[in-house]
Amino acid sequence: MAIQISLFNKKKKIRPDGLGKVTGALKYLTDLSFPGMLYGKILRSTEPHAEIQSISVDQAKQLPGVRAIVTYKDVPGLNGFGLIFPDQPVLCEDRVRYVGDAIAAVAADTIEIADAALQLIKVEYKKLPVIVDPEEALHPNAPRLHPDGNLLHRAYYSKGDVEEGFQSCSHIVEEIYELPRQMHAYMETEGGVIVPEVDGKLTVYVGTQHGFKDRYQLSRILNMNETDIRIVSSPMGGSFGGKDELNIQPYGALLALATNCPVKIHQTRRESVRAGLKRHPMKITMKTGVDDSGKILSHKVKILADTGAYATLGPAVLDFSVEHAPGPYVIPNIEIEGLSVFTNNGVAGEFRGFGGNQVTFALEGQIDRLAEKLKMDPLEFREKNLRQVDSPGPLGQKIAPTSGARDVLEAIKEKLHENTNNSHLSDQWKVTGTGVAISIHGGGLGVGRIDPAGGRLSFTKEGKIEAAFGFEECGQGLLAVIETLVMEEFKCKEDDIRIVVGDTDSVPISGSSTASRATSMVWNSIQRMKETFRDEILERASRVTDLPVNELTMGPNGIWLTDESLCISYVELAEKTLNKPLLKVETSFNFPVSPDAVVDGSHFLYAFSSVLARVEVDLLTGKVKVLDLEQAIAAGPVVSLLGYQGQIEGGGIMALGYSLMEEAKMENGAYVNDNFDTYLIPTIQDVPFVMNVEAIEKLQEGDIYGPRGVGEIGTIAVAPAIVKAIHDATGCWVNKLPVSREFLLEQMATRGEKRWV
Amino acid sequence: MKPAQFDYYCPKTVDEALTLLEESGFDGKIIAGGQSLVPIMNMRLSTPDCLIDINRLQDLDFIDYEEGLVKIGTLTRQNRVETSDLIRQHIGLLSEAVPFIGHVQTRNRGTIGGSLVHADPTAEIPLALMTMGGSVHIASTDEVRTVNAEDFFVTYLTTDVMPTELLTEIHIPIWEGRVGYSFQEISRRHGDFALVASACQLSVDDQNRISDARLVLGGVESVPLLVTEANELLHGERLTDSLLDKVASIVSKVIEPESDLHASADYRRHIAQSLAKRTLQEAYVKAGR
Repeated sequence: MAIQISLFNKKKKIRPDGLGKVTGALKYLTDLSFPGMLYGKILRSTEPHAEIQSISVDQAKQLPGVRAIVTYKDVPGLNGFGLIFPDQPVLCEDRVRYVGDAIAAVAADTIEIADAALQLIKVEYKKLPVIVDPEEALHPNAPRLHPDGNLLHRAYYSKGDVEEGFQSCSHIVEEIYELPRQMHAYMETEGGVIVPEVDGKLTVYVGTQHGFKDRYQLSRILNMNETDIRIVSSPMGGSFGGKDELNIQPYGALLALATNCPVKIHQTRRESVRAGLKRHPMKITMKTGVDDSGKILSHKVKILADTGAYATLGPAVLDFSVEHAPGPYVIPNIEIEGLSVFTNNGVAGEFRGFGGNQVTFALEGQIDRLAEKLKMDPLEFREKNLRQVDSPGPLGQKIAPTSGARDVLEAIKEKLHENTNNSHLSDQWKVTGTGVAISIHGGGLGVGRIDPAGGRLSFTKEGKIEAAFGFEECGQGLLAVIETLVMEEFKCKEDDIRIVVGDTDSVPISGSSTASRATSMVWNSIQRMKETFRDEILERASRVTDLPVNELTMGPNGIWLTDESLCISYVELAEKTLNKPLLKVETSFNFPVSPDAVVDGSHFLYAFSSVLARVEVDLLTGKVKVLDLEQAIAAGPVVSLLGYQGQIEGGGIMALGYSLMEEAKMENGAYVNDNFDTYLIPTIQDVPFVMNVEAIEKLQEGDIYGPRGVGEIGTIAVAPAIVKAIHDATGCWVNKLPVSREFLLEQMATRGEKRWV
Repeated sequence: MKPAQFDYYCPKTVDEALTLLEESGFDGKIIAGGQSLVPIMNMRLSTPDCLIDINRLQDLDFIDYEEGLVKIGTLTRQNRVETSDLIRQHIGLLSEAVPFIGHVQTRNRGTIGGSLVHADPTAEIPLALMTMGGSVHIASTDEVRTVNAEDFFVTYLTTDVMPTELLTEIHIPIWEGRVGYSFQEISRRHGDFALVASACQLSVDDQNRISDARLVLGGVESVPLLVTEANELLHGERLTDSLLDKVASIVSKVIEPESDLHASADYRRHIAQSLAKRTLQEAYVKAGR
C-alpha cells in the first residue's frame, strides 16, 4: 500500500474551522456564558473635550440589580493603556479627550439594568475647546491635549538634495491627497467574558490580536502578576487591526474583580464605532519631479495624520507611512516628513495596511500624473524607475533580495493585454476605463522593535501531533495555515494534528498576529523544529517496534515502514511511550530585520502587489462601478490557497469600499455615521465580476525566509488603480477618497464631458 | 432589539382577517412579508398591540390577466412579480422596477401590497403603480372600494387605507398601441434607499408623436411625484433634445430636495433631472421600435 500523497492537496483545502463557522456551531468568545454571569456596560463621554467636574454614581448604585460600579478610584494599578505608551486613561478622572473616553463601568444582572444604570450616573462637564483639525492642533496657541503638546510623533527621512533634484526636472507634479477615516467593520464587535477564578486568578475570554500583550497591559492596570491572568483570545469574528489595542478587557476585569462574578461585555455597533480605532485620516502633499527621459529625480513628501485623542500605535503607523512613501521606486533625492497629531476626534490606529494604503494612493497618483505629463505609458514609466533585485529598501536599508516589484508589474502587463476587451457599452451614458497601480509592503514590526516569534511541537499522550503558537485566529485562516504546514511537513492527516492557539496558559510566545507576520513565522518556526521533532518521534517508534530508524517515516495515522506499510499508529506509539518524558520541541527567534537599517521600524522582508481595475462611470450621475479587480501578488510560496485567495479578494473589496463609499465622518468630535445604515460597506452587488488573483510564488535563490504574509497586501494598491481607471474613463483626476460622485460630475462639467444638464 | 409585546392572529380567510381588523381598530396591524414592519417593530418605531398575519390567505396571492388589465393579489411576493412572464409582457415597467427593491432575500418575502401600503417615498412599486396609472382595491367588512394611485398615497408612509381596511388587489391597465417605458434609480449602494428614482411610460402614434406620457419621480417628495406639467408639455410632440431640456427644467422647478448624509440637495436635483431625461428618452426609443 502506498501513501496517498493526494491527501495533502493544499490547493483546495477547506479550513478546519470552516464547517463550524458556516453552520454557526462554532462558539465565539462573545457567545460564552457562565453561571452567575453579570452584564457590563461602559459609560463613555458625551463630550469630545471637557474637564470632568464631578462624577456621581450614588443614584445608579441604588438601582435594584446593579452589582458594581467602577470609576477611576477603583483602578488598583496604572490608570492607562496603550501599546506604545499608556496615555489613554482606563477610566477618566478629570478630563475627557474624545467621545469614546470611558468614565465609569457598571455590572448588573441584565443588560437592560446596566443600561438604565448608565443613565443614572451624573457627570458634570466643563466644556473645553474642541480641536478637530490636525493643522489647528499644531498651532502654537492651540489647547494642549497632552502634557507634551499635540504632536504625537514626527518621522523624517531624507537622502540627496530634493531641491537640487527639482532643478534638473523637466516635469514636476505637486498634489495634495486626502484620505478618509475608515472603519474596520468587523462582524463581531468587541466583547467577551471575564471570569474570576477560585484561586484568585482571572481568565479573560476576549478576542485580541496578541494575548500576551493584553496580559501585560492588564497586569499593569489591575496590579496583578501576569501569571495570574489568563487570556483566551481566539477565535474572533474579524479584527483587521481593530482589536489589537485593549478595548473592553479592563472594564470587564475591574467589574469581575469588584463583584467576584463572571462579567460579560459585548459592545453594540454604536458603542464600537464610538470607542473603537479607525484608519488614520491623512493629508499627504507630494511633489515629484522627473527628467526628460522619465527618470524620477526628486520626491518630497509631507504627511499629516489625524491620530485622534490617544497614541495607541499611531507613531508606528506614521513610521510605516514614511517608509513606504517612496514605494518600490529608486529615487536619488528624497525628503519625507510625517507628523501624527492629536485631536479630539476618534482614536486612529492599527488597520490592515498600516499607513501603507494612504501613501500608496498618493504615490501612485503622482506616478500616473507624471506619466501623463511625459506622454509615456504608465507601466513603462513605472518600469523605468522600478527597484532591481538587489536595490536597497525604501529608506536605503539592506533588504532581502527580491524581484517581486518587477514580477508583479510583468504579471499585470499581461493581464492588461488580456483585458483590453472594452466590452461594448449598451448605454450611451456610460464610459469605461482601466487603471493599474503597484505597491510594496513590509512585513513584521520592523527594526528596533521587540518582535519575537516562536512555536512548539509536541507529541501528546493521546497520540496527536500538537502544534502550539501564540498567534490568534481572527478569521484570517491561521488554523488552516498551521494545519497545512504540519500536514505537508509530516505527511500526516488532519485527524493526527491538534492545534493550540489563543490561550496564554498553553501557547508559547510567538509575537502578535499583526503586520502580515503570522503565516511567515509559523512556517519559519516549523522549519526550525521539524527535524528534531521528526528524529525524536522516529527514534521512539524505532525503539518500540524494533525496526531500523532509517527505514521509518512519518505518514497518515502513524509511522510507516519505507513508505509501504503502517507499522505503528500515533495512538499506539503514545500508549507505548507513556512512561517517557513528553516529546516536545520548542523554538524562539526574532522576526528577521535589516542588518544596517538606520530608521526605526524599517523592514527587511517585503511583499509586492499590482492591481488592475476596470470601472464603468455613469456620466449623468457620477456613479462608479468596478467591473474587474485583478491582483498579482509576489509574497513567496502559497501556503493555504483558499486562505490566500480570500485575503486578496477580501482585501480588494475592503479597499473598494475605501475607494468608493466608506468614510466615518466626524462633526465637532462626534461620529455622524455610527452604524451600517449610514456607514456603507460593499455588498455582494458591489463585488466585481472578474477578481482574478495571481500568486507569484518564486523567491530569489538562497532566500530562506519562506512565505510572506498576505493579510494586508491585497488592500494597498486598489484605490489608486480604481482612481486611475476613473481618470482613464473620464479624464478627471481624483485626489480625495472616497470618490465623490458630485466631485466627478463637477469635474466632467468643467471638462465639457457631461452631455446633459 | 426585540419588538414590544403584541398579540398575534393568523386568519384563514379574508373575511376573518377583516373582522379581526375591525375588532382591533387602531391597535391592529397587518403583517405580510414583514420586510419593513419587522425592523420597524424591532427598533420600536412602531408598537402595534396586535398583528394580523395574512400570509395564509392564498386567495390574495395571484397574477391574473383580464381584458386590458393585469390584476395582482396583494400577497404576491415581489420575486414572483419580478419573474412573471405575464407581467413582463403586459406591464413591463413593473418588471424593470422590482429588481431595484432591496435584495433577492427580501424580495422572496416582501409582497407587492406590503410595499404599497408602507408607502416609503423612495420605494419602487408605488412609483411604478403611479406611472402606469393603476388602482387598488381596499376592503373592509362593509365594502370594497377602488382608489386610483393619485389618491392612494397621502404623505410620507401614509396611504388612504384606514386602520380597519385591507388592501386586497392591485389593478394595472395595459396601455394600448406603441408603448415604451423605463425605470431608473440611483442609490449610494445597490439595495439601499433610492436617492432619486424616475419612471416613465408613454405611448406614441404612428408618426412617433407622444400621445400619452406619465413621468413620475420617487424620493423627491413625500409621495411619488407625477410631473404633470412635463406630461402635458410632451403631449402630441416628438421627443427632441430641446424638449428634454424643457422637461429637465420643469423637474428642477417642481422639486425641492434636501441635503443629508447621503447626498446634497444639488446632487439630488441634478440626478432627478438626469434620470428624468434618461427614462423619458429610453421610453420613447422603446415605444418607437
